Amino acid sequence: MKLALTLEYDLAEGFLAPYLSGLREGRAIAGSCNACGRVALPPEATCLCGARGFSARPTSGKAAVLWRTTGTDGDVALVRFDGVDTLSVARLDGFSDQVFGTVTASPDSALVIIPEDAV
Amino acid sequence: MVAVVGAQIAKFGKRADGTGFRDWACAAFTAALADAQMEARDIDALLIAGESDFFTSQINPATVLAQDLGLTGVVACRIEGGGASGQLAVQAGAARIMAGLSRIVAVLGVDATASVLPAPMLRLLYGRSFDALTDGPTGMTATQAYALSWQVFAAGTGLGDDDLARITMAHRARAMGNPAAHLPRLHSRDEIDASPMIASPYRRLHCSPLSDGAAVVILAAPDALPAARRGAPRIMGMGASTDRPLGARPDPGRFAAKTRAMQRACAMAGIAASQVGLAEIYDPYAGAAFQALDALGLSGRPGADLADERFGVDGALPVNLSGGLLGQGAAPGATGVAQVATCALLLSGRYHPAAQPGRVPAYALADTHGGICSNAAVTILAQADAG
Repeated sequence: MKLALTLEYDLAEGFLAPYLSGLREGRAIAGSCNACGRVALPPEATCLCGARGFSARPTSGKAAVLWRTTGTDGDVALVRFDGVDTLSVARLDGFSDQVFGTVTASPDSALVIIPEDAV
Repeated sequence: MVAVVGAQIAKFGKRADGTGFRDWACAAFTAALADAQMEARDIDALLIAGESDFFTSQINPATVLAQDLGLTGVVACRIEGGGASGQLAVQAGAARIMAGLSRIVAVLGVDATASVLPAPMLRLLYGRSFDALTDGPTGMTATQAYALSWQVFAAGTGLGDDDLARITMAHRARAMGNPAAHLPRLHSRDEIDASPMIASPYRRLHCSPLSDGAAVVILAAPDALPAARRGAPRIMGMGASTDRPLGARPDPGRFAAKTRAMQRACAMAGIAASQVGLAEIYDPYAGAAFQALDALGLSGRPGADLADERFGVDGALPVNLSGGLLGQGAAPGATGVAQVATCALLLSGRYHPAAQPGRVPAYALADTHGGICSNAAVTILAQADAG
């Protein structure tokens, strides 16, 4: 039996709306915990400290590539954005051996960084 | 304690015989009932483990499978915890018996991840199995997530490509003794090194295959044991835990949820990790096996212990005699159930003869997780007279 389903989701972005809309505009907007100030990217609904609620915290958009994997699945890294306490999973676009990058606009709200020297 | 009185692991692999997941479920259930020397009417609850309706297009599988298995009328539901679904379902079944809600529970894990959807669609779906709103749009694959975590772990432990190759060869070779295995192979190092780089340092042969598969265990309360299974292995300890996204962890290379799950399981069983005598661990990728051995506290030097044959069939701590996910295959809902079934059969001395160790220990451990160890479950089984 052959079956093809096409699903068209209309996903509400909820508390992630500032982060996801920021990526569409080429900005990395983190969340700063309202209780302890820990900065997470992506923002977290509940902080490590246990508090709920955060304030949107724009970053410089610059990140250091700490761990990177390449291959037929593409180029993805664990990166640290300036002023952010967590690491972030980002897709790398146009990297060779560079270790610093900048977030770039993504219409599908993907966290994508390009080499700093390409900006 | 709850006893595992029946166990069956259907063939893992890519089915091309015209059968579907409902057929595999029926066959595995019938065989498990026979193993337990029970009838379908003895079962009072059915717990289904399946990772995703996307794999079969069957929403609400528990009700449909209850009817297929001749169990209409019993309590039936599905348990989901990603790759840990099967083990979490076993734990839910045991908890149900311990709470006095059931006396005999069938736990059925089944998934169709090899034959139903094309590989690119599966990759797309699994890319949304981490955080669909944040990781999903990046297109990050499971292999990439595991590769990043392994790199962090390897940098801290000194393990590397030689260790990845060694454990890949070991687990695939162990699968040679398991007729239900998807990928029993005797790999050469050159063969591994020549396989395509999927996400560095993981090459294709470092990755487990996605499989079709089904497994069933029949759990029974102490006062409901069939006469022929009075000496069946017991579930002595259960633990589970979750973790934060990879980037938000203090150490992205360590499986902290697994450590917590193990501590909880050991506390419930009243044993130390050093008393575990064999283990079925979760190895979707070669490096994840080392990360699991570390997190479970089963080895402080897993690379050296592997090289020293400590984890072989005649070693002090046999690991993945089934071949693990690397060799037996990965059918997510079935995997955790199959691990518990394997441990129960090994403890009973009733596993496949080529993989059955001559020395049967008192305690065995089944370890499963979902995500990048985002949801971990550990179960400790024991000989009926242990402790």
